[in-house]
Amino acid sequence: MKLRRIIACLLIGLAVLLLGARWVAPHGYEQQFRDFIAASPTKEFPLGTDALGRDRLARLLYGSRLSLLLAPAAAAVSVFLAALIGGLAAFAGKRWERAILLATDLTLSLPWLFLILTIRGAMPLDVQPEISVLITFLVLGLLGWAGPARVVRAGVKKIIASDFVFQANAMGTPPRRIFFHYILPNVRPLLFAQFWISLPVFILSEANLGAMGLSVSEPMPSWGNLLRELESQTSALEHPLQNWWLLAPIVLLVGVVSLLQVWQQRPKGSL
Amino acid sequence: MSLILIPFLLAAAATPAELSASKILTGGELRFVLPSEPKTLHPLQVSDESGELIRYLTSGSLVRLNRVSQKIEPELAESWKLGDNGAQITFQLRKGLKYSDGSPFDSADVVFTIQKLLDKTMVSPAAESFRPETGTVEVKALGATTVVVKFPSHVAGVERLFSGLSILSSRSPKKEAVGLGPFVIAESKAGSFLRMTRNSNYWKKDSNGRQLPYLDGIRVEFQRNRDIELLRFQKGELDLVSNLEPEAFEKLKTNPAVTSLDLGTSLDATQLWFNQVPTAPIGAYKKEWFGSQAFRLAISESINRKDMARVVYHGFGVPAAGSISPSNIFWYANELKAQEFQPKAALARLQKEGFRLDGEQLKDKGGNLVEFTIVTNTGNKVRERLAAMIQADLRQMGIKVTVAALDFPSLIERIMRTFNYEACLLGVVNTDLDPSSQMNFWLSSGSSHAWNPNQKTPVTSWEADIDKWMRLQSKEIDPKKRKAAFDKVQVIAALQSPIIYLINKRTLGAASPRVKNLKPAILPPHMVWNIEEIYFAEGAGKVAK
Amino acid sequence: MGLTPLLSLYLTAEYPGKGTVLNGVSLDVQAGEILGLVGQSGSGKSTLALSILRLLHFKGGSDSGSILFRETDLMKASEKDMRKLRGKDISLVMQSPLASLNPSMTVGNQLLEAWRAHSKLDGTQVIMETLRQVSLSVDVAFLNRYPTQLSVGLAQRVLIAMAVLHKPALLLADEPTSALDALTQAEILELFARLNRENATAMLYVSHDLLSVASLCHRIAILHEGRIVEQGEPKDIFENPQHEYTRKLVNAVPTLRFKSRELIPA
Ligand SMILES: Nc1ncnc2c1ncn2[C@@H]1O[C@H](COP(=O)(O)OP(=O)(O)OP(=O)(O)O)[C@@H](O)[C@H]1O
Ligand SMILES: [Mg+2]
Repeated sequence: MKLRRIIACLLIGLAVLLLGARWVAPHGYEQQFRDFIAASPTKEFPLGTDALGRDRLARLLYGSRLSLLLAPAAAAVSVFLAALIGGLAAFAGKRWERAILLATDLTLSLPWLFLILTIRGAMPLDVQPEISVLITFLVLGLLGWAGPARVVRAGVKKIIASDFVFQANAMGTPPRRIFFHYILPNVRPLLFAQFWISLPVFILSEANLGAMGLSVSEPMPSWGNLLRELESQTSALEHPLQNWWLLAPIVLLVGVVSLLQVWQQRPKGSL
Repeated sequence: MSLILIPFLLAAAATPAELSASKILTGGELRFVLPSEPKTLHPLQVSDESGELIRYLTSGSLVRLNRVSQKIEPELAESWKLGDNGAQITFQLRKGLKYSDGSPFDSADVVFTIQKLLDKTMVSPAAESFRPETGTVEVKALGATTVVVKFPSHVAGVERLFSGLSILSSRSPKKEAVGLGPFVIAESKAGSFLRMTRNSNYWKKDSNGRQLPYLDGIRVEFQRNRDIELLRFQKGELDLVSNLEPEAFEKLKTNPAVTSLDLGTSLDATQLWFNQVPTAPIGAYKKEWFGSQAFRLAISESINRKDMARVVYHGFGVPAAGSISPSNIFWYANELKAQEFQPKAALARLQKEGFRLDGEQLKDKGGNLVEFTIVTNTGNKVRERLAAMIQADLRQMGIKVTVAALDFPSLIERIMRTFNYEACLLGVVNTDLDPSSQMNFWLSSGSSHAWNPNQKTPVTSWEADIDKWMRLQSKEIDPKKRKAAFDKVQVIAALQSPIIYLINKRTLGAASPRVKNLKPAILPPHMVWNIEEIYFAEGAGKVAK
Repeated sequence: MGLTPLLSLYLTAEYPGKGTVLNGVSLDVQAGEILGLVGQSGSGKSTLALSILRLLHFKGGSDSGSILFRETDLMKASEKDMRKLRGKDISLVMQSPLASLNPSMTVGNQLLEAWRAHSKLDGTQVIMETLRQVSLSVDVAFLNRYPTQLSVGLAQRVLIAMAVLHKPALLLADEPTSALDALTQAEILELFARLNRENATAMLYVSHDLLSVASLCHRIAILHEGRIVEQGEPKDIFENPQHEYTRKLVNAVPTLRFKSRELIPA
């Protein structure tokens, strides 16, 4: 598992770099150099500037920091909910189970874009960009439970029906102990797997929302609005080598997501 | 590089030498793209941009607005005169005209059309100005070539109402499917395209007696994606593109195979205003700022419009001076100038009002931090950039601005109904040159009086003044006096700045060099308003594929 | 015999959709006795074992009748009382040892867990002793292993250790050797015999392998089509099977057929 260790080092290195954005970035992410609009890389601006003359490197660092901090938080929220709801479905009897499955299907088919729009519309206007970002991710997290909940339900049911839980019952183990010592520890790997699987999904969701102008608001950068900028840079995509600096956000996003993917593919066997 | 800058005044006077008959070739099919399919093709019922354009190409009206000179010109009516203090208009019609199916045209058709329009059971956006709140409009024919239309009271600039009114046939069995326009619809495929062919009965001839239009046909395709449209245009599959964004336009400018056209400053403006509704659910001290002329002017002075034009519009925008664009030849008040960027003057003005800088932060006389939220709609990149620039400019003043992008329905809900907002950044589209169309916006009782709509009596004396001058301009018949009154409105608005006008963008388009005799204009339909005179350099010759 | 049996049951059990699996099964187990329960696959042996522990509802089944254990009817016992009894007075060893251990708990902790289910006292001493009794090493390295690191034979010994930790009066062994190779199987059988001798634990030893049952049990009961068709000492069963099904079973055992040929010349 040398590969995993290398990947972990890369990710930690990136995290350190991002947390130190304030010292690494040559300029503030919102500072507009209006005489250097959409400039190519120079010593002053290692990745050039954007359409408003803001340093792309700074925006990339701060934007990545935001996305990489909040996506795991959202993933954690949704997996936590999934554990509660999926667990309830598995434990609480047929009627609950049917109701929860119905709710899951409904949630999965929900026009959640519309929901996010509505929530945004209902939010007080003077919320700081930081808070609105948090809310966006929280909503993503709150809406993301359904998929994992299904997996958790199936997993928990399998564990409840397993021989070792049966054995615990046959030993006269009290239900509380069975829950905390037999079921929960064995659900945990499942939850971790769900967390790692949904992490890139959240990163991409924010990027998608950002692409529709629904995520982080100006002037704050995130992967979402950095990617959105690329939309209007079709020429950059036609000649990627001449415009490599414009592609930095995509490269970083694809890089991090695939590193996470490889990393989470842990050897099977714990369950 | 083949950028043609068309100064609007010059273009108006141009009687192109190339029009000499020998050089003009007929034939060929003009191809362009519209973003969506028309919802209806009924000329009196069209409500969308696509329907409006197809109506324009396939039907005739009594008069037409020359999009370049911005003057009303004779069309189906060879002349008209106003009477009864501007409440009555009498049209003298041309003789011997025929609809596309050959059925004859006379006064009965005009009466038929206007009566149809007045029929309250028909839903028609075009009918709105023909249905006054009190009294009725009367129309009657005096013989075959004279029509009199009587309004209950004076209507300012009444002839322009007829410029967009398609005259239906009262006799043709094909009803509204026949028209008096240069083209007729030949084929259409839902969601895909619409093909028009020349109307062989079209009444116009060129100066050499040649039958117009020169073109054989027009093919309109429906395509929402502008990137695809641009790609196809550059490949030569389309002949025209209009309403280009500055970035796309700059790209086209570098393509030697196309002619990029800067049609001039548009009538549209991007504007910022503060909520002045007394009952709005916002802090009392904020209401006090927003109600203060000094505060509004200071904000206006703190915004660097030239930077906006340069950075966001790539130079294809001009600092705006007011609600009337300088392109509106007659109505623009010449003494108006766009607000210069004067942060020092702004700060002095604020300090005189009791505001003071506390470190990096501006505070009002009550010690409140000066900060506010600008709402705008999501998904408009240009507007988001403008907002970011306002943010940066005002940060220099110690003012903290938050930008909230909302979806359109929630935005409208806030600015029109709940008034739960502080400031709003929006673009306003203008298609009418005459200020009568802005009545509802300027009157303090108007429902679109953006900063404080539906006032029972004017809250401020300057709004009362604006009301007075607006009413005066609408009662007056003499255009010069109307203009003088409306100039007053523009000057008061600039002085009080209830609306902070930012940028008039330029109207940008491009054409294939083979398209000749274009007279592109800032008014829609920008490139094809003189469709009957447009021809291809090679005529019906080769058709690029 | 005359003594009141340790366990005396009369049982009918069914699964929804499957119908009646046990149809008035009647069995007695005397204290200290090993009773072998033999029947073909699907005859309801496991059902019977689960029913005795009142755990049949876990598998979706339902049962009726009476299960007299030490003269109290378990059918009428509360779930709370049953829990006190399971693993302490009656314990169970199942046929798939690896699956029956909690994958995320070390061997030592599983033993502790089994101990704590019925005692608040320190179990270290008892656990050590029991491990020794089932011939498992008592070193820390072993106790810190996880089930995935155990062989099937070791896992079965751990399970047996857990089952006999509280010196139950009755041990239900449901095909405990079916997952094991022949050698290990013999060792485990030997272990059961030893436990029976040393602790005087009575056993209901379930199997479809007549031969292993014969070597271990004091008495054999034959389960067929939901009923006990025959029971008796191994010698009687082998030498003089009464029921036709029993005869079939006996004839199916290869070594015995050889013997019987010797006994009865053709
Ligand atoms: N949970 C269940 N639901 C429905 N039917 C079941 C269930 N468990 C067992 N059965 C059925 O009940 C019958 C008896 O099953 P049981 O497991 O008691 O047999 P067994 O004698 O232990 O068989 P084996 O020797 O294969 O272990 C079988 O026919 C089986 O298919
Ligand atoms: Mg079984």
